[in-house]
Amino acid sequence: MRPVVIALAALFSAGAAQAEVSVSNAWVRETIGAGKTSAGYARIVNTGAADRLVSVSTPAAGMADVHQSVEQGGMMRMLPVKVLEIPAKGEMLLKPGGYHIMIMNAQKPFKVGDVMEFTFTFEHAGKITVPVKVAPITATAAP
Amino acid sequence: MDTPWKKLLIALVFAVAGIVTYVGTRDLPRGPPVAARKDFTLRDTAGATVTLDSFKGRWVLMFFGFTSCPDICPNALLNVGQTLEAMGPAAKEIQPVFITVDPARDTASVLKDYLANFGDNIIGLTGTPEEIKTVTTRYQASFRKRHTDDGSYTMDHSTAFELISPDGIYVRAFRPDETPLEFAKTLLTIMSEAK
Repeated sequence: MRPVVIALAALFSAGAAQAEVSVSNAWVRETIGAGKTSAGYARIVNTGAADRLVSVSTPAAGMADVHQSVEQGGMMRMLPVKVLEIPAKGEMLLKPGGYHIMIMNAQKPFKVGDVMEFTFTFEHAGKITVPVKVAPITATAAP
Repeated sequence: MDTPWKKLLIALVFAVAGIVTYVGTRDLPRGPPVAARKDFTLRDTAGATVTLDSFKGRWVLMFFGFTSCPDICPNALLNVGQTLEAMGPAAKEIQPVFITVDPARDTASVLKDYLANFGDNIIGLTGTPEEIKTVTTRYQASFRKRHTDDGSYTMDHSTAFELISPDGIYVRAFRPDETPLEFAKTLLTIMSEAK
């Protein structure tokens, strides 16, 4: 029994030690008028072992969930993604038309040039808080 | 007792009805199917009534969405803008039309303010829920309300672009994943073949 527990503990701590995750180029689209919806994008780079993005949060909005735009039966749907796998020694790009952070109930309008904070929580790397820039609604990449 | 006679009578009635139907339809002229004209009645952001005939003489590129759509709709609107740009002067013959599937939130002014961000040539249309249902059904578009965790809602919706000729005849649908350049080439080909 004890060797198994020790082995498990070693595995978990090794995982934690190796998860070298960083979040960069994070941006959101501006909200229009009284609109309270936006989408967020970022580049997640992982130089260590495989990790998973388990949640995103921000004081700027009531909801910030990872979604994926997918086509199903001729309709585009934004499906919630419970856990986003971040490959070992790889990267995951959240970008328009693919994985993105669906932001609802913005606390106040997102104005171009504003910077807000988003916290990305990973299974191994823990919480990473990054500045997120507001870009025009017509932007397709980080400002 | 009279069952066989009844059966015969019924058979006769059907036979006669069949002949009458055949004779009545065999000489119908072969024109474009009536379904190719898909009329609608909606309102623009100035409150004016807009029907299919309002666009007579122009090609219409119609698509459906809603302004609280954070990812897909801005991408579609950008795609249309880039496609028209890639078409050069011929783009003037095309009228892009964005129809909301969320008339409850997309009032005329919300729609107007939103679309203004994507250029000055996109016409936004809204209507009653029944009018929206009619136009989406006729153009084989679909949409569905879906509640989100925060107590709000979003809309699943089809994202094809529908092309209508200057005569008001439905031409075809385009998938949204074509690049603006491919899309522009296809549109230019269709338009030049129609001339």
